[in-house]
Amino acid sequence: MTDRPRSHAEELARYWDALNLGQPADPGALDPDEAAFIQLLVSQARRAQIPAGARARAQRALLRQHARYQTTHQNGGTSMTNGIIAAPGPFAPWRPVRLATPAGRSGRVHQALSWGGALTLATVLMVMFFFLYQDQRNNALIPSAQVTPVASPAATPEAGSWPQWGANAAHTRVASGPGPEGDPELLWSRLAEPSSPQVSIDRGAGADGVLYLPSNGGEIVAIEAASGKELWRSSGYGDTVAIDGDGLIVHGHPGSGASGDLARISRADGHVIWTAETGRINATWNPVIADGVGYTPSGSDLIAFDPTTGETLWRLPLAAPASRGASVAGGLVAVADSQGTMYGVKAADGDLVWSYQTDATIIGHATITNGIVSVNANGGAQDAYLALDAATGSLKWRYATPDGATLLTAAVSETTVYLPAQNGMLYALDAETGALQWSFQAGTSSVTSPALAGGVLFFGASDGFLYALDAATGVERWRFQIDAASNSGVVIVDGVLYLSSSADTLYAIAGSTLAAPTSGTPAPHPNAVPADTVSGDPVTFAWAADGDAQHPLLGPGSLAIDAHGQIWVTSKIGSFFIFDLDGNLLETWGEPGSGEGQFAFSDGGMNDIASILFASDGGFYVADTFNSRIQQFDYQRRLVRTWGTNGPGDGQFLAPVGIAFDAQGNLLVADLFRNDVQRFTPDGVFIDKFGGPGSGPGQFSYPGLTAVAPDGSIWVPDVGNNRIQVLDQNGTFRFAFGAAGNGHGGFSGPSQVAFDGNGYVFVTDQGNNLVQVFDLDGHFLYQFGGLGTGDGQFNSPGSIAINHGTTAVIVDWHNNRIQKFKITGPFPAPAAEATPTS
Amino acid sequence: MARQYVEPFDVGDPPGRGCDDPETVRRAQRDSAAFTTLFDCFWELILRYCYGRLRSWPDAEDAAQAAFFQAVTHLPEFELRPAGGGFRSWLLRVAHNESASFLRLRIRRPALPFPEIEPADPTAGDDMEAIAINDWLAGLCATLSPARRDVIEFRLAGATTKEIAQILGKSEKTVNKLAERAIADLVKRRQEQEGEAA
Repeated sequence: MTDRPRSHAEELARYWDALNLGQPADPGALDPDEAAFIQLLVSQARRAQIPAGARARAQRALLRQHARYQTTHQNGGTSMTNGIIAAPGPFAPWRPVRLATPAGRSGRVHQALSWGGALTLATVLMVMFFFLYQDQRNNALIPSAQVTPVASPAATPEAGSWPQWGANAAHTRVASGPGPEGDPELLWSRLAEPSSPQVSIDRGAGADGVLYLPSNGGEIVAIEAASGKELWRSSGYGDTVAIDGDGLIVHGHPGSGASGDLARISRADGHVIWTAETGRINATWNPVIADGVGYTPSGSDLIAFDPTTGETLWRLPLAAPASRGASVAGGLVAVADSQGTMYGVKAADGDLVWSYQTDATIIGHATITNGIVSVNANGGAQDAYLALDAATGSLKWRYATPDGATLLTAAVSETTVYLPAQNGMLYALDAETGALQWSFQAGTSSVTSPALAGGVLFFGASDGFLYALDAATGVERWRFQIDAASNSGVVIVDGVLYLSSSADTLYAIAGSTLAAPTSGTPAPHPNAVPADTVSGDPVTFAWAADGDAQHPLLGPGSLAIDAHGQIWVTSKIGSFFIFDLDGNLLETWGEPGSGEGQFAFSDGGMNDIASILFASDGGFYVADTFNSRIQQFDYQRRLVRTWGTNGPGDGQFLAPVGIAFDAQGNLLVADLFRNDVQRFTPDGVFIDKFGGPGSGPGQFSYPGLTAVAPDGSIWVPDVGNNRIQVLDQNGTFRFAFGAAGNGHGGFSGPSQVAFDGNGYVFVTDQGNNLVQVFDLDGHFLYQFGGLGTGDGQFNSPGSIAINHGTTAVIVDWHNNRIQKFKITGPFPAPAAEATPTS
Repeated sequence: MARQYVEPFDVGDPPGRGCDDPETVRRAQRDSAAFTTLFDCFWELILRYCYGRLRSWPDAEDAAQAAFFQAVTHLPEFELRPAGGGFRSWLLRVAHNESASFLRLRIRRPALPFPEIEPADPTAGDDMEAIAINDWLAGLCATLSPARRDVIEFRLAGATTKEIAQILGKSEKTVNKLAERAIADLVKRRQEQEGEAA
């Protein structure tokens, strides 16, 4: 031990370490109060009482996940113990996802793909990691070729990769392989860790199943493309990235010792291969590699360098430091300086071919296509997009938006410039003439740099959507909602699209065509739950309805179907929206307020909830949740009576939501905040109540939209406890099923129970964006849905009503719509494993 | 005043100590059935850690669940991490990331259609004073800066300096400094509160 006196911090650590190791703790030099305070903290942390049954729930859930995992991943002879999979993020789908198997790949990955033909890329990664792992165990050296297939040094990027900023050295943003095909499917999303530097998608690069993303802390973070899992992080080098064979060209982080140097780091683990003192390299100067030569601004020069050694090949002084990185195509290097001059330079020897003076101060990365250098130029008299003749540097055309909006980097195909602007518009211009072909409005503030793949244009926008447009016509193919405004350009690698949001979430979006299981999928385990979408689905999408232009359905809360087959939906605006069974909006009825016959179906932002229950005489009851009362109406919609005031007493309410008739025709009212169920006569006279807060049998944590089974049992979604509780007619606990989980019987906020009359129970699962189907014993049978805005997808499914056992209508809350499904069955038999708990 | 906690008292046993011997971990890497040993050993540790971060048992259960699922599926790669520490540190880091997702989720999706208030404490009727102290501590911890709070949360879960340093990728010295400042912050806050109450 050392004789050096310990600092106070070390004393504290020593003391706390002893507590945490279960050793005798001597406060030593610590102040007794301080030591006692730490003891208090520690003892409280250790004594906070864990909810009853939590361990058993966790064990069951893990077993279920494990079983599910094994059945979906035991392929290609790879078992769970040596494989890895796409890690399920909070919204990640459970089904195995097929990634692109692009043609023209070379090296080990291609070989692996051709072995089975049907192995998913995830499986390939599994196998590769298995080898890597074995090698590690054998203490063998790991040649980097095993993790990163050797890329050809030629400039042509491997199909499917996005090797550098702008997809290629010409910065066209045209992907070299397909993009997501079919409907968008979330492959994974990755939430930034609060303590970690954010990574940037659009300054990143990707190939062969790995994304290399610069972080704002000056690192490169390598992320497994299939799962979003971090593989490694460089330290001291980052900010820009271009893939060159088995290396990445980056530059030294200005905060580190080697500030602004150019460097090459290993693609396998981020270790530094060479650094070159080329002058200070700026973080916005993305290096490019073309035909085996690297180009980057350096200080106030433009340089060409050998990417394998870092040796400078030529150096051309500019009038001022560059504005952005260079672009290279057809033997020409185009770069702009920060005083508004564009330069055309011979790639071979750095001779200046032409220059063009603009009045702009910020000129973006230029794009070179078909003999035209085009670039966004902002900060001059007018923000404009310029197209210059690549041979002479003369202006061919310029384009400014009608409102003079600031322009961002465009994607440029052979024929068309797709120009995003900070006014929420995307403009398609004829690449030869600059004539406007079409434009598309996406939100009102900003559109991010698009990517073009397979005739489809993909881009994010400040309105929180990812858009896919037909590149030729501008017609929207689909849009996909993300959690906040998109703040990055779109990057496409191996058929999967990546973008990030201003909430620092990274998204990986695959296409349904690629994501759907195919015939190559191995035969399921006998106990396997079926794939979510197969032909002959027992539940099929029929339509989605969101009102009409004058009456958009906003904040749908709860729905019910009346005797005429009309669907009544509560809206947060305080009205009912009434649809026919084909999804046509018939009328809206009701007005907001707290007066008699008025409604409060929303608490003003957080929750849109209420419910409606039809009686056999055509009258109906409304749980007017946020007025803390029940209102009864007759068949002509005339108010009969109102009862309940805000409070905890018998016959009072805090937030009544779940209303249902019991077997005797009395009214059950589940109250979210009281955590109980009260029973009333049809005239509103209090009879009895049951429940109370807690997680034990018969106790509730937010009892939700309750239903009564044909046998009279009462089924209560116990939202906070992630289970469905089944009570007998008297409210006595019978059994419960479900636990926190990601589907297949696991819940994340079960919202409503509905019976189809054929022995099946439908449960909407809000957090998992699923509808799960069970038998009357609580055995999981089937699920459908998934996060998204497409047909049959949900963003927070809430209320559900089933009509005649053949039609389910479901509130899709955050998509502001309702969806109808046809129930045809049959549902699969339950797996052997029992899910109910008692 | 402010002397009521001076007497040393039994702080309880640290959860999840003494069962992450390398052999158990290696066995679990080869045979996933052996993972149950690790689960049994570490479940409480991870759940308590998640609770410390999320202050909601349902969320903590979900986060711990997600962490274990990540762990069981990614266990084979575990030893590949060059900067990694013991299994326990690795698992805590996984739990840290998973609960970060839940925290983010709260911001992203604050509105299940049901209010985001704490469900009634299942310990109601037990030791109301302990619950009050717990809430008070949670309130105190919420005032810390994120880096200090991270360290305190790992500390309270039972991690040692060395483990926290491995988990967060910081030096032990930095971790100790952060813990020291966090404790100083907490003591100061507590004194302020007592001053207000007096």
